[in-house]
Amino acid sequence: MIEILATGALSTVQDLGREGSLRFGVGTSGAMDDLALAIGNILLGNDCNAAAIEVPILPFKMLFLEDTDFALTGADCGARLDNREIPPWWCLHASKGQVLTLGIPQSDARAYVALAGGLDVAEVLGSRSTQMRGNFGGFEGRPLKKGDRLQTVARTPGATPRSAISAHGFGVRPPAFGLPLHAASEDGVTATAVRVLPAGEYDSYTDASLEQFWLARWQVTPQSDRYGYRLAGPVLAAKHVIEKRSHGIVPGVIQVPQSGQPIIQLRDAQPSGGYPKIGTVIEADIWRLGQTRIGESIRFLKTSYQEAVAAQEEKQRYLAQLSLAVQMQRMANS
Amino acid sequence: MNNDELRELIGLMEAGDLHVLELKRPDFKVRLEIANETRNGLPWQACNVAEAIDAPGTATSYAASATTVVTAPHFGIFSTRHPARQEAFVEEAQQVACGDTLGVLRINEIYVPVLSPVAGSLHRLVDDEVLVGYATPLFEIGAA
Repeated sequence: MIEILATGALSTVQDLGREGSLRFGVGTSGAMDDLALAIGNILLGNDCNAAAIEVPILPFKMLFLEDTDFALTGADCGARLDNREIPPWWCLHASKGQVLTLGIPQSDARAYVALAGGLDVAEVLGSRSTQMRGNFGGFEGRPLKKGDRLQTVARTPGATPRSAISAHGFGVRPPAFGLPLHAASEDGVTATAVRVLPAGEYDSYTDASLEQFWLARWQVTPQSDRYGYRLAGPVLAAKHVIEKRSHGIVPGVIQVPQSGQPIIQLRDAQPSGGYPKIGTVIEADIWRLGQTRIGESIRFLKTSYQEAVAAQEEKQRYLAQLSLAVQMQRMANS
Repeated sequence: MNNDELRELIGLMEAGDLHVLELKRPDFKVRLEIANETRNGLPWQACNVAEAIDAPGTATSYAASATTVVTAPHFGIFSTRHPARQEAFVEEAQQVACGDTLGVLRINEIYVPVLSPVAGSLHRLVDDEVLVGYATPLFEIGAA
């Protein structure tokens, strides 16, 4: 069990998301950086879908109320276990009474704290993710606050022991190295690159707007959160007025409201909307958005359905290989 | 295992520039160490031991008398900088505390930490991005 000693707003319990309920009007929720969540769980020998804490606004502080292994993935936030510095993308053992402190990240947007066994909150519609729109799931359907105490899932016989990692732990290479994706930029300014499939109303935009869509660096505005990112850049104009009835949408959809400034719908997006859709960020790249900060820029790279499927397969392969390497390391460590 | 086999192993160690070799079999265990190398197996635990023995604040005196060589706890690509960071864990001539992370060894996608077994002033022996073998001397830590 752990106790939250300090947290910014909007730290939540998340797993990989609540799939299969969009038809009931229930959004997916789930970790904004699903890869970081999965890797935290892999480091601990957990199921990839085990629930962990997503920490978007730092600092964050928690107390270990029992001995347990834990993992820290996502943004590098100068973490400390008591006074000892912990490298990013790392797992190690904490003793009862130790305090984990996350500081301000120098880059990236979200850190994940996973515990051996995974967090034990009730599953709702097959997921432990916090559903912010409906105030259910996760921990009491709300963001975590000071004084909250969270349990880990009780061990089943034969499960990975809670304390299998030596005190100094080990880490993995951040996935940006194993799954690199770079957008060329003439002036050396870096932008998060994501691959995008043209969506339903793509052909309704002017040629000039479509050219801008693929060329521009889109800035993430302060009106961006788990619901979606509002972007700033060139104004996208349609050839004619597009009026649509509300229809189903999924995380990753890029809508264009009247302003001509796109919105990328994300994990807590509502499951339907009426704005025209110019594109969809492929599933395999949504984690890259999850680590893009307000003020940073995004580039859209045009891709095809086949490439999108291949990218998802590559991501699964990467996780499978990482899992194998971690298992060997855990065996050597124990 | 007989003397000839041991001699052969030592020859192989010298030819391969290996400093320490451990061989475990169900019925025996052999550990060969070429002289002048100190292996610091479990520095983190060692720190805890040092703290338990010495009164607070005197743990540094443990290392005051001699230079400690920190060797690689694993083979791998050595670096004093985590790839997600701009700054290195440590810089040459820096004062380090017992248990500080001095660097990492990368084995494919896995990182194994190199920790300081003592407090003192740091002198690095290996450049970043060099592939090192098990027990390769990586740092010398002099009296604080």
